Amino acid sequence: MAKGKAVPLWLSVLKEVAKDPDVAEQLKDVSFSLVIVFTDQDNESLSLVIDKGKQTSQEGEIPNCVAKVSFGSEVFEGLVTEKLSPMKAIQKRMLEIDGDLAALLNLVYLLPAMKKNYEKITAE
Amino acid sequence: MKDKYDAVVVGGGLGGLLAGGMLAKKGLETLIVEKNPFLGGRCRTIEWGGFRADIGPKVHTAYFNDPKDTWFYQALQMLGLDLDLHIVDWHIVSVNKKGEDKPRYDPFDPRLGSQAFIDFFAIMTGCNFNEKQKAELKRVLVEMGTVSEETCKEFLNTAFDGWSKNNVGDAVVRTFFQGTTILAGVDVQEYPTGHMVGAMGAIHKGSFNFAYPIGSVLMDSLIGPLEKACEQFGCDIVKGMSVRRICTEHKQANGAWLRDNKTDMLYKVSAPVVVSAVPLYTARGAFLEDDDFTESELRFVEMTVKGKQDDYVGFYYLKEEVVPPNFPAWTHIFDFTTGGPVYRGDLYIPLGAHPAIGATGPKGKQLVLTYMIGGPEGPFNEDFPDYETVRKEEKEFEDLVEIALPGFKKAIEHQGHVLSENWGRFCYLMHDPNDTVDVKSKAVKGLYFAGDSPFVLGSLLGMEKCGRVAIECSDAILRDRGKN
Repeated sequence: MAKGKAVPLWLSVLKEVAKDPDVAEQLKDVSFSLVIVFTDQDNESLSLVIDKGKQTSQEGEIPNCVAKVSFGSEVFEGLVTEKLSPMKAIQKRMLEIDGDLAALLNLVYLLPAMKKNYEKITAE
Repeated sequence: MKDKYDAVVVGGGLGGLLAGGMLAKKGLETLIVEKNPFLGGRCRTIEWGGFRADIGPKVHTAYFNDPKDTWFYQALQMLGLDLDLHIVDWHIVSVNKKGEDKPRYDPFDPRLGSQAFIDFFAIMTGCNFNEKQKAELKRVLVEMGTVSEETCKEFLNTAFDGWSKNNVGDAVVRTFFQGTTILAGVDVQEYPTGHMVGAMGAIHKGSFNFAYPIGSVLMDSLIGPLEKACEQFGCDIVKGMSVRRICTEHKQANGAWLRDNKTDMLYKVSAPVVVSAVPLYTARGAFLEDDDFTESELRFVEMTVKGKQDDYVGFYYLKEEVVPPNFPAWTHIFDFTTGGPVYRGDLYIPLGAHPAIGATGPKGKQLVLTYMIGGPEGPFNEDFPDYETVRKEEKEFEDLVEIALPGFKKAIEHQGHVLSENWGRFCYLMHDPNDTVDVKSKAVKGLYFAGDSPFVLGSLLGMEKCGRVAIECSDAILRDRGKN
């Protein structure tokens, strides 16, 4: 992915996911915060906060996130499009996690909705 | 060796010895032919640096609650042998965990059923499943536990990846299930649902256990007594001879050409029954031609070739005792350097050289074995990895062992390693359940298979598979010969 493109793309995907009532319902008991760093994008990052189903995301690193995950943008794309399983990405050391692994695992609840919106946005 | 027998068994490994012994016991004049100067195949004991250690499938792997309930145990009983099998205690060692300066050891006890999974998840992630996730995990395991072996076989060509997406409701639980395929060295997109469901169902029932024979190394406790039992039943065993070709006439087996590996002399042995008790991919091209298989069987053979990968076993001769007496016998090493659990391989304080099982070695010295899995998730994805790759991986692995066992590297006096063909991993690969090699050849009358077969599905690998296939194979032969 060209430099400078990953963060805006994924923020727009997450913005759409935040509007999805099914995702909110599924995550109603879940709270976590996560910083996602794209190592192939000059370490540009975005932050994602889920607070009992309510999702917010923004560019950059917000303080006190429980976990930070770093990977190439193609790895994140692989996870979202289900071409790559999260456990395989960990096993193959394609990503680095600093902090609470549970936050990364909770991210899998968002992946189906992210995939749907990613495909919609990239098709446009 | 005579020139005429009722049955010729090609291969003096565990499967060949068990099958040959059973045929001889039932009165068939039987010859077992082994190409090596020793019996046991990969189930063998080596002598190294004064130690006697078991390599290959030294651990009895099967789904059982009591080792006496296994096919392997039954097969031995049929030959009058009583092996003392003890369930192996597993441990997980976590190294390089952030905030922990020491390695952490946790037991993994499959006899706990679904609770073993819940505990494993907590060790791997540092967090617990919530109640909803626990309920979903248990629901799926219960469902898996009710699936019959026959149904599992029907799902050999369905990837677990797809099945889990449709059948596991919670995404985290699904991810966890999918991640467990890594322990088998196979990607979830290639892992057959049938095998996964069988294995997970066994865990749910607390019957996913491993055992090893106590008393002595395998050569003394198993292979030697088995050889004697075969001979007592009148079975002839020749070592150091290869079967060059099975003989057939109008698609009926009638014997085999043998070659003495020392003199190159050829011998013809007549027999209406020939049993191939070696891995299929070895048999094909060595003494069986493509014509000896149906097209469907050949597809299965091709699949076994695809599944064959090198695994690495490192032998470390330690000049001083760095392994505490209560150190777990078998540990899986997970490296957390990158934050998540990366399965790197196993560390044996070798079951085969542990004084507790009666093995011997020089006083004050110790033998440690390491195991790195090959296959798609391991370091040796090519058939013949170059030596530099092996050494690089070996060095990295030694660093991890040093963390788990402080003082290990300094104590190494000398070391060796074996790159072992993992002949059983094919059972973890998807294939059409109709393309199977049964114990009885569909192409050649009188030809039987006591080596690899789809029976591994319900039996995991190694000894259990050998026991089951030997029983099924000898039953089929005796039935066909009117001896049952």
